[in-house]
Amino acid sequence: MNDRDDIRDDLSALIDGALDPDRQPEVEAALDTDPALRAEYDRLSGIDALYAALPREAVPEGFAQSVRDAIARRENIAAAEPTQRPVKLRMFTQATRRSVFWPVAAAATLLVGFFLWSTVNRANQANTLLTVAKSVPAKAADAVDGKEQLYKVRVMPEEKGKAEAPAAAPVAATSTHAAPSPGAPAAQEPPAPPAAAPAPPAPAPEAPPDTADKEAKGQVLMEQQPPSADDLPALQPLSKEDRERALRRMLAAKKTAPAPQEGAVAAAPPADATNAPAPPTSATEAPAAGAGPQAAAPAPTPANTAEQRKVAGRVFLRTDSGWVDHAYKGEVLTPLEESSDEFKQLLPTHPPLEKVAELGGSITLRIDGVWRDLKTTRPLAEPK
Amino acid sequence: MTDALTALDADTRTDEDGMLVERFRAGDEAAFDALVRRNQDRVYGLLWRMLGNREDALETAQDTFVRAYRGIDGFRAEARFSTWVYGIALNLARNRLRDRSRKGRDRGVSLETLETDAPGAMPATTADCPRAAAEQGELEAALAACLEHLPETLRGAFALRVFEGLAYDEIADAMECPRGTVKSRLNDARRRLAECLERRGVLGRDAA
Repeated sequence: MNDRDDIRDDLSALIDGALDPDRQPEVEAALDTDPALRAEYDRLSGIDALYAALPREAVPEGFAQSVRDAIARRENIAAAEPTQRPVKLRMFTQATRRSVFWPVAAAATLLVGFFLWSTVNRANQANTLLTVAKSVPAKAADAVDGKEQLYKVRVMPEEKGKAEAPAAAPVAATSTHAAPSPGAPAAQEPPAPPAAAPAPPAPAPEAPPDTADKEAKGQVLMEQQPPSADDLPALQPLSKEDRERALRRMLAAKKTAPAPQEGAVAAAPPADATNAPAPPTSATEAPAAGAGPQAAAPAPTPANTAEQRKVAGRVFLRTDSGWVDHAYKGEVLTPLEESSDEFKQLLPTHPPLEKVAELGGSITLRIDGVWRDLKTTRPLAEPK
Repeated sequence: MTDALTALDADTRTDEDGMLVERFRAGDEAAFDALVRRNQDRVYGLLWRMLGNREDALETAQDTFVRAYRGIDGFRAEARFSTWVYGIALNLARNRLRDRSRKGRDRGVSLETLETDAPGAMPATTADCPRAAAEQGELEAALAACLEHLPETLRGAFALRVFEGLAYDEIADAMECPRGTVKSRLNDARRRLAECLERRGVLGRDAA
């Protein structure tokens, strides 16, 4: 910006007499020597004259009184505010409610949707586990992400019929709603969960799979449904007791021994039977049709109980390939060969191992807190 | 010199306004009525120039004094009552202009419209004046149209200076801006008005 531009910027202040006294002589001198600047000064000065000549309009008569009236009205409104405030607050609250209603409704819908989704998702997980359990032997639970994920499954009549159709799918009927077998000692059965269904009469699993029989079973299961079943989730994580029972049923279902006669207890010695919990099996839970040589034998017993042995203070349940400590709940197993050096090294510090190995076959047991799958060199004795 | 004279006149007014303010603060309601009567024409004139509409100017002037009444406790004794009231009026005028912009319509009678479409329907300043002639009306309409085309800040500074005779410092107080800003706003306003009036053939006949 040069000096001429600076002078042009000061022309307006010169017109208004507001220029700095030190600056004013310099600007006036420039106007005397620069005709263009003088012309611009005259042009700007004329504007003020034009506008100042415009007639002014006065306010109408009574303006001051109108102001006074307006003040009085405002004050009356202010004085009435305490009584009006609740109304305004209510209106505000109503507006707030209106503005809040839809977000809250949307959030509630999302919550309900999530609950339904999670329920369906858990059902799908359980069905997946059920399928795995059908095809994998007793330790199938370990295959699911390395974690045991057993679920309580409420089998509906038509699902029950499907589950029993394949001969080698006894696990499908692993209903934890089942009551203790009438033949099992009641004192050995853990108390059923509150939501558990009442004990049904156990039909024979080996019965011919005719339609009438399936319908009969379905009817039984229908009767098992508690009146408030709809209020309960179809699937629930298993409690500790449920998990044990489910595992024992899985093991019992795989046993090839003939089902004991009605009223028979475990094949274990009487002394052991008092210490070991009786497997809470029922005909609906352990259908062994076609599972072994004797499975075809008519055994309409209310209870199929696995053979038990008590060795070194531990109770072992008989399986088709060996024995399983009754406390085993599907933990990860570490293999152990009886002929291995490790086993021989364990014997001096764990003398009972020798007696346990005499059971023969494959034995699942816990050694020093680690669950081992002991492969013995001895044959598994025929079930009693 | 001009600025010094207006400042002297303003000082005289301020002295009287100051006393009225003190009386009003002491409980004399009539003192406020006197303050209104002493300043009403200037406030109304400023608002009419700012809003270009008589009805809006009257409503806003009334609201200006109501706010002054209720906010008198915020008035500083060292300030001038007129300057303080001008500040209130300019803020209200700015709000009203913004409301017009938001609503997309102009409640008032456009000064531009008066010039082009209804030159005979001039405001009272001309239409009610027996001296008003067609040529005079055309000149005044052109002046009003060019003023309305100014940005709000330039228009306010020019109106306070030319119509109300406020000094730079008073304008700065009323517009809450530095004195240098007032200087540049006034210079800019005059240049724009000159260009506008030249385009309309008002200024070119005598100047330049």
